[in-house]
Amino acid sequence: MSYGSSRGSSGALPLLCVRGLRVQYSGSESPAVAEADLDIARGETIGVLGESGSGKSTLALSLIGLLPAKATAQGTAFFHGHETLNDAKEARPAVNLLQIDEAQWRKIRGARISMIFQEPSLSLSPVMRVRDQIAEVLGAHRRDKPRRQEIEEALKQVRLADVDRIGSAYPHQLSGGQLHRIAIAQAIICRPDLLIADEAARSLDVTVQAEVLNLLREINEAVGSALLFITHDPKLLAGFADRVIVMYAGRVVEEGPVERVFQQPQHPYTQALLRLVPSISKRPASGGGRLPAIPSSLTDSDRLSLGCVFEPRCAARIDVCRSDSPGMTAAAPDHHVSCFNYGN
Amino acid sequence: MGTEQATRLARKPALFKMRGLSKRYVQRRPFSRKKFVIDALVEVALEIPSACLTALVGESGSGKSTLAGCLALLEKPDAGEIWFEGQEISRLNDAKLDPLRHKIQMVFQDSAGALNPRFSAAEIIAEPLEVQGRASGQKLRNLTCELMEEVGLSPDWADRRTLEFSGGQRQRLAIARAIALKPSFLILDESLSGLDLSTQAQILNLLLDLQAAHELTYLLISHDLSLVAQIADFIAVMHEGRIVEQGPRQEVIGHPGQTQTRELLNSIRVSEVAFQAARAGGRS
Repeated sequence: MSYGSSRGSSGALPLLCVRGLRVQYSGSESPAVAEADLDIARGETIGVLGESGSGKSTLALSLIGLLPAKATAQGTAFFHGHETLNDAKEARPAVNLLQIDEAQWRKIRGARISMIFQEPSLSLSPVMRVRDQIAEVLGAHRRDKPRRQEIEEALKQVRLADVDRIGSAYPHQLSGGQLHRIAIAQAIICRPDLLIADEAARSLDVTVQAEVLNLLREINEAVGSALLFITHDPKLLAGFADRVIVMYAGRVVEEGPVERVFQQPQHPYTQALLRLVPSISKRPASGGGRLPAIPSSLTDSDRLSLGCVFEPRCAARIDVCRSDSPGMTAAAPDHHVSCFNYGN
Repeated sequence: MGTEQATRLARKPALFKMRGLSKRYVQRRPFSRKKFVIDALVEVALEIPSACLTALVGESGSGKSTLAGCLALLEKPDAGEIWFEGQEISRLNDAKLDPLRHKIQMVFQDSAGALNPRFSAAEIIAEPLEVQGRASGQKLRNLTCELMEEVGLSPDWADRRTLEFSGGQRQRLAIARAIALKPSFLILDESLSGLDLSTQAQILNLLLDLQAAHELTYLLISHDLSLVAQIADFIAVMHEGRIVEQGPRQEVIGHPGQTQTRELLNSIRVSEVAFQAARAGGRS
């Protein structure tokens, strides 16, 4: 079984083991992420599915030490990555990512854990050549000077042709798809243990989107990195991720293998989300019919509720949902759901 | 599409008609004398039927936004004709265009960037009404509140600044502003991308409601065919500055005539098939 088991069952030590993660922004009454548990095994692809405000980006930022200063994180996030580039064979003792200081982060970030941001045109420097931006990452993590050949290898690995021209180019001279590839090259040049992609495919054309996903999959296999893929679109996870974590209002509401969760979604939110996926082959109702949508939207008062956070929008709510918060129940050894209706 | 709907659509007169529309941008690289040209529009011919939703799809850089700019009277084409409500408008000067402008409104992609962050929701919606001298004082306030209700926003929020709203709510605000002057034509340039699936569906439903209430004609520009195909009456496909295909939704999707359309459909089907298969557990 390649799935990292989240709650208890046997298996090798996971790469990353998050328990009770809670992130609170000062000035906000409710936490952005609450009591989140997450295990990632080496080489595994995990999809984090959720709408805006679900806390999925905050989760990502807390795992790469980039939370803004006004945020405080509680809980543990033990990372069993490798020490440095030079002793990539030796596993180091686990570090708690929520406790380490900036000096330690500088060794890990970009080398052992790296991230592809949503908008590569904004995350790349407009005044540096592509080649130098990639070299900068390598240079930050080892003593000897990056060789031009290494950079070109990385550009080839992300399937960029004409690496000589692209290496010398500035970001504004390249297309959106090319910039995405460069951001990926930058993230993988140190062969990290964990790669985080935050909506990396949003705002891309469908064809380019498919190419980026294929590329991430190839690299996942070639480099052996685990991948945490954050998205709001369930369609992207089918046939791509091993496991999926569904988040709503900062809580993990369901998690399990993608096939299982997609076939037998147990949480009403997951069920609704999966029904929303548009399809060109079906048209809702007859001519001019309305589209299915989850009623209203997540509000601040929902987050503060003592009961289930999804209760106000839930079609299957019962009395207890308003007063109590459901815990995680196992629907199968590797499939968990947080809903009072489960099993009833 | 049933024959009944086909005849219903065939009866619709065109609100916009374009013929031979071309637009070329000439740019110079920084620190260089070399010029290069981009043919953003090449001999575009397109009809937009009245009181229908026409979806304009194509990959980025295919010229969709340039075409929208020409229709919104923000850009002048180099050549070709644009007929709007039976009048040729591409050669009109600003003085003659001004009376038309309120009939054509646009909703942009990035609502956070398109709405002034210093304005309250009420000011955002009231501005076009004030500029056109439609209302003032209490009447203006009442109109503003009615518009907020119409797009599904509570008038209690009228004094909140735009950045206090969520992305979907801001897009509702942008729609309220766009319909304030009772336009006949609304251009939505990637107005749904960047929103969650549920919010996208809610906004599309809002557009359907508004269309039923006001006989609005829409041009919905998107790179996501599977999204717009859900509610489009007509689909036009753009590629490298040309309209390569246009027709009723069912014809374009069911019997695509052009390679570009087929490629677009194939790439969508690949991901949809994978998703449906995962949902059905390999039974499909």
